Amino acid sequence: MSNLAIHIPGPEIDAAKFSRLMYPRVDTPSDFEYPADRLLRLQGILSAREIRTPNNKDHGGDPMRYVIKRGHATLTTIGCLTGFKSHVRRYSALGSRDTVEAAVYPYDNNADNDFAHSGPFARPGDSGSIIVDARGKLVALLTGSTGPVYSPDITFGTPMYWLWEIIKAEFPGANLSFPDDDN
Amino acid sequence: MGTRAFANFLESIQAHLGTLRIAVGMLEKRVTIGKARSECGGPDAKQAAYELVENERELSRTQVAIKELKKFFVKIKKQWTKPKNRVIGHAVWAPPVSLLTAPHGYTKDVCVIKLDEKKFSQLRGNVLDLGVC
Repeated sequence: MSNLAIHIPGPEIDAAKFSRLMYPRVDTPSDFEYPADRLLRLQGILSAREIRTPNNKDHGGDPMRYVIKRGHATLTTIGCLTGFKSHVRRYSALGSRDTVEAAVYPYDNNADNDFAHSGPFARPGDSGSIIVDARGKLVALLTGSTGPVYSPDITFGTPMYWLWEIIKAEFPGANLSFPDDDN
Repeated sequence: MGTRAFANFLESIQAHLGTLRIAVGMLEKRVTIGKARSECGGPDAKQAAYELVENERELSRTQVAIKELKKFFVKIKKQWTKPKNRVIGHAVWAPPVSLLTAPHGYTKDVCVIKLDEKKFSQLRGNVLDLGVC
């Protein structure tokens, strides 16, 4: 039996540490509550205005909006949403391709900080993951990242408030919530 | 789940079973030593007796886990091996990927999937798994 052939992806973060990472400062009110069954309910979509507005503070007290995703490659990770639109140019054999994205940068680039030491927000294989905020509001659909695979760098996504309008245009009456979501 | 992912999944169960079996071996040794220590009396007997109870509890828990995991493995292998049984839905809309989509210039790389309701009998709504630890 082969015991060692298994690829173990990113770190899984325990509940207490996760909560502290989401709210690193005692002077900032917390709107994140770690669910007892580990399943964060998703409801609602973060608006363009909310994307631009930080609702939290980072370790240093600077304005911040933390976001969460669970992907196939790196499992659950926490990242920092930038309020800016990112203009991205990707180069390939066929030339350059430009697009605009919402951008998320890694929780902590500082390898000396053992507590966070988060690594990249996403890696190849995480595309298509949904990025959500502390209250489970949908922020963006992960499309790609820059930089080398093992180095923390910027992750890009398509804002959900915009994408959902496109889906709704194709499927009028589409709804993201389930009847018993309110329970 | 694709063929490779399914093979990896089965292998991950086997690997986990392997780890649990090693744990059982170690716990059995600790229980044997603990029994001897707690019976021979002396200043450490109380501590040894306490640890013995803990180790015995952990041992029986691990043995139950192995039994359940074996059952799970058999079930998955029996019911999920056919690729057809791993289909949970079909893509109903997959527009071409477009970059710089008007008016904001965002990437449009999306697909809508109609899920097979029978495969989601215990649906819990939209949730994000914060991870096991």
